[in-house]
Amino acid sequence: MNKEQFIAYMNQKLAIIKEEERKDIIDEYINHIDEKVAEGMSEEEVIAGFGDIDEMIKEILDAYNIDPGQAKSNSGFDRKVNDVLDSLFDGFQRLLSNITSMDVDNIVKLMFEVLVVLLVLGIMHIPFDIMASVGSSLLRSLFGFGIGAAFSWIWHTLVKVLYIVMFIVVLINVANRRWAHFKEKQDTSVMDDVKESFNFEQAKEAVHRFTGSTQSKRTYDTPYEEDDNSTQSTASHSAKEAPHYRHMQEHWEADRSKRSYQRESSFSVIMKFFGFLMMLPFIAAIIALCCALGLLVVMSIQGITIVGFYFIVSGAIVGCSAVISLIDRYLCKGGRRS
Amino acid sequence: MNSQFKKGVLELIVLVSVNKKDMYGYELVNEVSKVVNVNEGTIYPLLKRLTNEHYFETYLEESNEGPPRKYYRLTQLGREQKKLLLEEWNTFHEQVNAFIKESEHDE
Repeated sequence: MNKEQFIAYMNQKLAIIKEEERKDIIDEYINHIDEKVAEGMSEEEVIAGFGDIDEMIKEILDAYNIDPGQAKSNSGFDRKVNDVLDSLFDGFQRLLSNITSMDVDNIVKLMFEVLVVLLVLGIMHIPFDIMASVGSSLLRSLFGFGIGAAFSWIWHTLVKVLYIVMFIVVLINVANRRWAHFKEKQDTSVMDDVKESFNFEQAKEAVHRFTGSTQSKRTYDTPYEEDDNSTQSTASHSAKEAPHYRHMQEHWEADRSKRSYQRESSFSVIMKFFGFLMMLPFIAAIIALCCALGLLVVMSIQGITIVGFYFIVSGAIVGCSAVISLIDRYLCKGGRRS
Repeated sequence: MNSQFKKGVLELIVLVSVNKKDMYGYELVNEVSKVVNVNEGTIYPLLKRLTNEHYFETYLEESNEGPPRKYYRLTQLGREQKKLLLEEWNTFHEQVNAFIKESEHDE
């Protein structure tokens, strides 16, 4: 064994001792070797003169009141497992603090919020189910059981896909809002975010703002027109004034388009659409209930006749037209705005 | 020589040597080696233990050749320990000698 090997071996075997202390004792041996080498001995000879190195290590550990047996077990499997667990825990904590700068309270809160969101989304499955079953029963009764079954299967799949899409969209949207709020250190409840992501409040606000804006536009328009139609004597004045108004109007238009751009992102349109999809099954369900009631009445009078199907079809048509008109009204408003 | 026995004597020799004058590790090993035939590697753990038990204190001093040397100096506690060990040694030595003398006398 040469000096390098000896130092490496000592460092490995004395790993349990604090680095400072370890260096201190190993330095003594290094000095000893260096002195002996200066006297003309070889490194190997000096180290052989130390005798049993393991015995020496035992004595060093003994000097620190460390039971060599314990040290051995510590350097063995137990210690490794401990080290791995410690490093895993440290790594996990570091990861968390790096990514989110959250403490444990926040994480628990976050988990609860995730649960709430999932619950809301789970409840939202119900209208989709109603939509699917009502639609498929409608299709079955319309097309008979052969083609109707195929159509109802397609309808089912479509509704399922819609639900999944909505699920993901809502999840991402809520998460985004949550993240933004967290960054701003705002203390809002997760339900606010869920609500916001469904955009009901925002939509109302947007409509309100829009109507307010139209009114304000009119107030800009009218004085301009009045000015324009006023007497010739004030023509020079109005000519001066007109560009001013025009400028204001342009400015206002730009401002409006900017604001409507902010309000009317494609995402919020999608969310509105899904909001309507949410309402659609309820409307359909009410209509279907009416139809079923009518059907019951007809059946009780005449037994099952073709009239019952007419009821269903007419109910569906009414329902669809109502829904379409609602969507039309709503989306056209949005369209006019942007 | 029995290693446990040697260990006990070694401690006394080291304490006595450092009591004479402050010494650095290698010097001390040579001093001890003059008296007892011992593996040189075992002296350093002993020095470490005696330092940890506050019998020794250490200080660095520049040397003419090589890096600064770590010198060992006896503390008050060390001096008391030396005195205690010396008394024990003397008693033990006398008892053993007396016993041997007696045994040989009986022959």
